[in-house]
Amino acid sequence: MSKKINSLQLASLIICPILSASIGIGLYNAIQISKNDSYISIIIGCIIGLIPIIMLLIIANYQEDKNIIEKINLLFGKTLGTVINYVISILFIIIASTILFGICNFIITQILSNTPVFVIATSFGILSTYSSIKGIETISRTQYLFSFIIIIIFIIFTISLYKEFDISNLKPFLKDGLTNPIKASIFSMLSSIIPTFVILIVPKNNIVDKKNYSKCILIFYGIASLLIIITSLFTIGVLGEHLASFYQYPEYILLKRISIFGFIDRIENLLSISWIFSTFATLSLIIYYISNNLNKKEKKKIPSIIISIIIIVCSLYIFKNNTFFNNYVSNIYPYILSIFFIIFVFITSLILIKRK
Amino acid sequence: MKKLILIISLCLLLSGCYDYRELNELAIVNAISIDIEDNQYSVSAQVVNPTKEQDISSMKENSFIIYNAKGKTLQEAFRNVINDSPAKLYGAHMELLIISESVAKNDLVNILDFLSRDPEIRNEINIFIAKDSEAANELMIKTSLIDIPSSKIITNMETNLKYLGTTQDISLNYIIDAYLNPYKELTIPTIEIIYDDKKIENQETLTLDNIAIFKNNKLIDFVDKDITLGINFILDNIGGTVIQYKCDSSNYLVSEILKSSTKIEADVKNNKVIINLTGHSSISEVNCDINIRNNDIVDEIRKNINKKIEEIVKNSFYTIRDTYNTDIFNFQDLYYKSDYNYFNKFYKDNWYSEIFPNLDIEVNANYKLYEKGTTLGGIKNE
Repeated sequence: MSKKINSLQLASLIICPILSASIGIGLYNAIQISKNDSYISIIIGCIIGLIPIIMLLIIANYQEDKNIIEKINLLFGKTLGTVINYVISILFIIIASTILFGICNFIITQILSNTPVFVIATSFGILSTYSSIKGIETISRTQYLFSFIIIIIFIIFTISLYKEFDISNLKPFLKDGLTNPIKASIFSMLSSIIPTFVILIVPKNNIVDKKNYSKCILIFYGIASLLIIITSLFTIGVLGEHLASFYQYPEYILLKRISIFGFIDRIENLLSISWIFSTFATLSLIIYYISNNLNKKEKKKIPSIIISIIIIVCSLYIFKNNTFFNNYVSNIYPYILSIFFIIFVFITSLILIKRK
Repeated sequence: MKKLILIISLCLLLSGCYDYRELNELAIVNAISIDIEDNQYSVSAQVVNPTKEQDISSMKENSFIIYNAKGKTLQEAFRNVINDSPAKLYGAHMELLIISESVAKNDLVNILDFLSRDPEIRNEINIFIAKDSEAANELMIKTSLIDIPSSKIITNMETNLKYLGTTQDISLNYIIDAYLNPYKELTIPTIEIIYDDKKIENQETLTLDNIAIFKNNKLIDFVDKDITLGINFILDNIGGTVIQYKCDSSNYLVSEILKSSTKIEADVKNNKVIINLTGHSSISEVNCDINIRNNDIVDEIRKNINKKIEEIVKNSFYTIRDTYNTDIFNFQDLYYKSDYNYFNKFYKDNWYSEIFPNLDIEVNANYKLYEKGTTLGGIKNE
């Protein structure tokens, strides 16, 4: 199968990781830390998120014929490069396990309350593995399609809920100063933007119209940011501070309120599919990334299956329960992502030094 | 072979058949009521009778079935219903919860906790307090026009909000929000059974004219429909209502409010709230001898309607403030949101001791008078 994709398809790959990591994880942290100023922290998070996006573009523009794994080997040498690549792969497994548990927890608590979490995780695992085995063209085409479905769902979401939006729920603005919103914005930036580095697995030379690469990435980053800002703004604007921090998934409670034309209602499960789609797409990409790191050859079936099993096992056995997961997401996950961020800051700095 | 195994495993995993429940194994609950009896929760579930809904030959059957059970906890009580019902209760289509007065006074927090945890139950269900009777009684009353009591109650509430404005549309989420927000007080509409001997077959009727008011999340009293109307004007809950005033010594002029909107501003530093009411109205009945072809008289009627509305609002506010000292109008929340620093410094700790008892309101009603019916002046003036 061809490995060539166009810029739009590649850029659409960043919407799914951002959404899957924001809803349930990024927004949860933002609401718990900055309460009714959570939308401000998401806005700040999206602005400072431009830093990792620019880093991503710098890395992508270096040695355009190579993917990130080869670039790291080139920059750090064979031994250190391999170590760094394995560290990144482990970090990606942690990110994938976190995202997978997040969606499984959402499904068993809100939709399929009698279904074992193992069945749900396995379903995601099988689909993601199948998709990643098919290669980057299949993943990117699927995500390209998902991106438009997600955007349409968000348009329905916004139009249906704007009447319920109460601007007084956003007040008082910054009542405890900027400290908490900034802290929440860094958490949000780390949890939402860091997983997008997974797209560096596609060498720039594999893009048909690579001159549009940066432009498309920035546009789709802008769209993804807009979607998470709208979600956070409506969560607080419609539910208010107290209800938003009371529920585990306030976004879903928000979807329950949607009624189109006054008679099409109870469509929350249909609309929450955007989160399910983006999680599936993110898992596919991460499995594809790690299988490329483990096996340079064309056949990646066995590595993909093994990685998928590791992700499912980690997800189900590390996170004992919901409370443990929430504490982990607030207290440990941001620091794991910080290690990831520091590694990529280091890679970007090396590239900039080498260019000079 | 591999593809076949994959297809079979996908069919098993992704068909959504895991732990499925057949429709005929579910008892679809429309409404529930919760009482306290002998220090136990007594729950009644109104379940739709699908046979009656589908089959004309089963005309003698009821459209609904009431299942009742008791338990030390709500979960136990609901599970005990299984002893009576052949199917497990399914709450996703529940639209109404009625709680008794004693439950509202002592156990509201337990009910909120139970309902908000359950993923099946929707957060937008309507909640009422059964006044002067057991909550289950309201679910058993068969009424004309609409067979199922819960649907009848919901329809009554919607019609009341549209044309009378003497009840409230309070959802589970609203109550949770008011319960959690330290600057808001709760109000919950009531439902009451009226036993009328004069009616054929001693038919009972349900009325929704009062609301229960709370202070610090504790039920303190019920207020009548006149006070409720004023509260609803302040809380912007009016779809339509009827306003009447004496246009001479014994006769009334009646106006119908067709649309209403409330905007509230806070003058935090002067401890004053300005309530601006706008909308439009029509004349629906003129019993006194006035010429409504005359522009000046019509303008005077408009002023009188606005004056009457201002009176209703002020009466409600000052009655609640002076009698109960509870801020069901959410002015504390308004102050908190309008000037957080000032509120935090001067009002937060002495709201009920000094601030609310001295809070003043300015009411500006500006309802336009568009219509006076199909006639020009009316029979008395022709």
